[in-house]
Amino acid sequence: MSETITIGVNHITRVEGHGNIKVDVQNGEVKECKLEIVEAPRFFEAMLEGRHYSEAAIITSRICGICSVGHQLASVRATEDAFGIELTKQNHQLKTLLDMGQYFESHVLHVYFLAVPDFVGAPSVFPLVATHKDVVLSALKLKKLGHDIGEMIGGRLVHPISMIPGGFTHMPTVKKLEEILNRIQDAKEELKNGVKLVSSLTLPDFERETEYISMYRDGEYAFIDGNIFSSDRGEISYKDYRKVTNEYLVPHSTAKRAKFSRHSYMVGALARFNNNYKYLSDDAKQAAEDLGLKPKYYNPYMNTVAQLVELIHIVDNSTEIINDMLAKGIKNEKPVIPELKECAGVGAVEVPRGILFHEYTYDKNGFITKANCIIPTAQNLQNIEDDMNDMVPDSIKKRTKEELTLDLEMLVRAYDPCISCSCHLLDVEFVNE
Amino acid sequence: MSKPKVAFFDFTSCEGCQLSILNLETELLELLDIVDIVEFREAMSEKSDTFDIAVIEGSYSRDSDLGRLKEIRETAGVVVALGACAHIGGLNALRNSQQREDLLKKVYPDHPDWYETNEKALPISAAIKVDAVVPGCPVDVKEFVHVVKNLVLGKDPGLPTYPVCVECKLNENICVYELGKTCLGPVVRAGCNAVCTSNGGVCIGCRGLIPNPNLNSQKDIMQKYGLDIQRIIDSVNLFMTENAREVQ
Amino acid sequence: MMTAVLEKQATKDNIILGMKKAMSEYDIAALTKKEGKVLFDYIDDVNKIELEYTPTVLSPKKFFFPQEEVILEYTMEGKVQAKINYRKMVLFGVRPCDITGIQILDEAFAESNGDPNYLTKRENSVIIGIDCNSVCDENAFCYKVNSQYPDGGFDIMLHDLGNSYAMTIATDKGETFAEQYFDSGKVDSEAMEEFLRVKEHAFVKAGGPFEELENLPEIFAENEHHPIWESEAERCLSCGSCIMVCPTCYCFDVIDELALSMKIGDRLRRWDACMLRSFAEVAGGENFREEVKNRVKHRINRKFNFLMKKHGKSVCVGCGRCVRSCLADISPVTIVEALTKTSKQMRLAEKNNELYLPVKAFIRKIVQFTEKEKFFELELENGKSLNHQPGQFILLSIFGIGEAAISISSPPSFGNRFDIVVRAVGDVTNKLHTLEEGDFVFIRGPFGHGFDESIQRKMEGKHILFIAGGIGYVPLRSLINFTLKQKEDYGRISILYGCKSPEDRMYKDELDYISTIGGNVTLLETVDTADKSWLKNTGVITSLIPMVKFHPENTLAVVCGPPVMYKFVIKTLNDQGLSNENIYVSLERRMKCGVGKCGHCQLDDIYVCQEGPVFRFSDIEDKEEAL
Repeated sequence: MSETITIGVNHITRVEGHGNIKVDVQNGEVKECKLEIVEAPRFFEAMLEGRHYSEAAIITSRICGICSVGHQLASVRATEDAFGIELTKQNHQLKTLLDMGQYFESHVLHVYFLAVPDFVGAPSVFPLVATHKDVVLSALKLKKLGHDIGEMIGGRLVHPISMIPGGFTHMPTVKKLEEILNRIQDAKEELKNGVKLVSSLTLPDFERETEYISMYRDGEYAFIDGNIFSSDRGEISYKDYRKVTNEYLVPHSTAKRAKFSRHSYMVGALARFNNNYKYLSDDAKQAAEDLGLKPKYYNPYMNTVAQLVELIHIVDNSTEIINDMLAKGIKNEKPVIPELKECAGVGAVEVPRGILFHEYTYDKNGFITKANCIIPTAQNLQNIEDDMNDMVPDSIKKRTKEELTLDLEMLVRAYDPCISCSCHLLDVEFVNE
Repeated sequence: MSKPKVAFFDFTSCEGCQLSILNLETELLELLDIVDIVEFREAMSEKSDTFDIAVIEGSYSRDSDLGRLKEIRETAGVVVALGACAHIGGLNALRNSQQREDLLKKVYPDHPDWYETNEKALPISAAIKVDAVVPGCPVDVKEFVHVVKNLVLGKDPGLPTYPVCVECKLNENICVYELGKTCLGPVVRAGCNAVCTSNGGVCIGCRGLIPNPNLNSQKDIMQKYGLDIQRIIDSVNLFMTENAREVQ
Repeated sequence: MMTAVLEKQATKDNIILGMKKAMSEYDIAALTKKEGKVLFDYIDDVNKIELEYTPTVLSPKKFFFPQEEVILEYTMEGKVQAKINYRKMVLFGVRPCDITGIQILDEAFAESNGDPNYLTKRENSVIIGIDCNSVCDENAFCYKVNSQYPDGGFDIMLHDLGNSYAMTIATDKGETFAEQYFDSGKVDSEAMEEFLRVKEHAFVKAGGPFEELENLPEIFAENEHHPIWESEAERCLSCGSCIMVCPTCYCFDVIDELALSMKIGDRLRRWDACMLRSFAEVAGGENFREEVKNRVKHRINRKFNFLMKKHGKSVCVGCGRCVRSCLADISPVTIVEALTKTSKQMRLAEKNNELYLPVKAFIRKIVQFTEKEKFFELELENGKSLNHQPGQFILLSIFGIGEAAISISSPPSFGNRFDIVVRAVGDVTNKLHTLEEGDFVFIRGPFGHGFDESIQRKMEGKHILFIAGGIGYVPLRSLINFTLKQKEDYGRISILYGCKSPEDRMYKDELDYISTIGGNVTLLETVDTADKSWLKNTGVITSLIPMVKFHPENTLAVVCGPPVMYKFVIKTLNDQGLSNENIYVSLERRMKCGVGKCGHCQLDDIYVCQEGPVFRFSDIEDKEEAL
């Protein structure tokens, strides 16, 4: 490949939202290598101002369709934190199950529909209907399970209905839980095939150690309710999330960026895997081994693989939760009605793409005076750009422009970025072409 | 007869409607028997210069999007507005009551001038002609399939003109007003199978108003059930900013 | 189809056991709880049956006329077949209002073009009702349209007698079912009578039927332009809820659904609602019922006018569902009452050509009460009920002789018949005494102001002192029986009755029965003279008053008798501390026209035939002619 190239991918595909990749290499020297976020600004923080506490989750859910469960969880947790509402065990279980439903849907969508086509050289999942029908059907079935778990708990998976601050307005029936439990067992077999499929694929060989940030809770692979954990610094209170995220703006992105101990950090499946490995279920650990994944793993392309490992863990964890609920019986708990007061609270939740924070300040009548939402993809953006800058000078010597373009697109996709959330991402643009 | 080509596009939105369509699972494959999906950025890298049906998600909130919208309109025989953002501005329009400059300063305080946005977030019908609508936030996928099927059949995809109450009653729900909550169901277009009220929620108006809604009576009822006028406007504002003024 | 009505009885446990057994042959639908709501649904366990009624959102009509059903299946190649889905089922625990609703739908779907989808489902169903003996909530108004007593629409009706159910078996289907599944025995007729008494009391107390129930079609026709249509329409949201929940609405839409394969499809019917704007819109966009006002009017008219004429009874069954579901508080009751009131006023304001026109009535029964007094049971030729209050009177004519004012002695809601007791003292009454059962007379009325609802309300909880002299028992009898029927509504009921001799006593059997009731009911009798066989008191009626202990502030006296009696009775009551505000009298006057014109009955500025004959004594005590 020539020493002078420019790459420009506008509107990167198979990611959620709109973003571009821009690379400018002059005489072997990387002049520019950046990830532009061109999603239209949506002003959610401003729209939240003056809204009633009961509407916060409804509004923030619409930040992103794929992450709507995550936003609702973070929003509801922030409001509950503000008003001092403690979660009952059942409420915690329902929220975790809802989160897991989303993981299922989102990870399956990412692994099978968005990432796998790259590895088999297809532009999308649709041509695979002809060539790999069994894989597509298996993926559809798995995705439907995630969707149905979400529907069982939240009424629907995209913009759920039943979760409100203080509890749930609708309880799953025993019959439904039993049905889902059976399907989760079947899913495990399907996922084993997925492990076989993915272990046969070759991922780009690229490593860069970075700071890994995730949620941490003693004794479990944390999804909701826990503190922040940094691979560099250890545990930090969730209330101090601002000390970790340190948001700042760059001119080429409508999404804000974040940094903590280093120039950038990574959140998401690989960060969770690296930080919480010991709490994975035995079968998930086994799958990780089969897939050649061990902590600490520094290849960002392996984020997709870590997602698959997480799917196995979720099968085991959700089975445990549902069995416990069935054994104890489902209580018809009415949502707690908060006592209004001037207050503020933080909700931190692990969602498929990483740790998500919402923070609200309420006036004495329960209306929002200030809101802040920090999205996983926004936290990852600088890390992706740093990966690109690390990779490109070496790669331009070995790879063709087309290969490099694909490498970069795949890198961005590996992070499973959600640009609607961060605000929207993807197209690689090579300047001076 | 060749299958109609369908292309998906998105503007200012959360892409939840497109995701809902991907959630069709097996019906998605059946749908592929009657149409060819030629562009769907969220799920595929292929792009196409020609298509018969353009399905557009998202609101129109930047002048720089106008060119692309017009191109789509010129290429497509039929333009379908997908979801509340494209149909009525959606939740994006919630910001329309604030000044553009104030918004930019609030969210990007250090560099408000770096970002492009119009004064208002509007339905795509504000930019181009729309032939059919699939309302909702997110859309009801059954209704989406119904609309596409009818477009392929050449039949008016006629949406319900009656309010959510009808479907809510058919589902035998206890009226949320009886449970001490308020709801926009009596004036909002059905077609969602009253999914929110059937799951312990209330109708928040994402599908827009029915033709000839009795907003006066709706306001009186909400007041009778304890909401002050500001909360009533707020609740209408959530998805139907343009109608909130009528309530006042 | 009604066959001979059978009455049987079985324990509740046995009925539930029977339902369990029936599950082998039938699908069972019953009132049950599901996700926090009570509704009619198919059950898989008889323990899930809710026996206590909570009003449901939808009526059980959905089992025979589902929200949506496929009526045709077709292929695009042109194959087509009719589709009827049905299950062999028992619908258990339907309440009288909904049974009346099903009865109406049975007629509607059977008439002219019998609807196979509905009728097949009905043929394959057994309906077991559970009777109500109270009004389920404040929105129900079954008693205003008399739907609480269905005369069809069920196979078996269960009446709650505590640990067991009495069964009214109305059809052969019901009889076969009961024989197969229930161990039934003889009805405890006393308990059954008590059930019916409690039931009647509850519904009478709730308010009784609409004032002019039978005339509603005419009243609605007269009130096409009533302002209430406008004012209700202003609030109406056109949301269609009232129609969705109505047990007798049966309009539907027909829709073609092609499968995604585009090769096969269904034609289905789905509930539609005339309250929805698009209901009467034709393809060109023209809407024949565009205004909300016209839609509200159409909906209510279907219930009380258009279809009422066809079915011969109110098509609204008063289940209250539309009232419960209407956020704008639109109620058929308000509308019916407003229209009735206007019609009555219009009739008052208009020249009434029928003011002096009597209607024919047949004598159905005659009993010789005393030497001079006879009892007559009458029935109007037009089949209507007299619809009177206790204390009102009629004018009875015998052509060629003349007209006479006669008190009505039967209590209200006695069906189509009513009683009078007549002493032969004048031309008309003498002639009447010569007539026989089957002969006819002519009737005008009821006239006057009786013991209306406001007086009845004042009586509740009080000690009621009835004081009747001689034939004065007759005008009071209607009220006495009315209060005895619901005796627990009153503190005590004391009936004081005086006659000249034991032979002059009216309603001897009834008096003897009253004396056995006991509890809070006391009957004291006296006669002026008697032989030794008379074991009760002798002496004037005032001598009975001190024998009754009463608290003047909590007592209400009702007095009727010969003119001479009043002065002495009232004085004695006053002496015992009872004020004139708490004394009601029924006055006798000469009456010729009965409609406040002829002047014979005038008491100063008062027409007794209009404002009386019942008065609160304090209202007339200053008038010299009063007593």
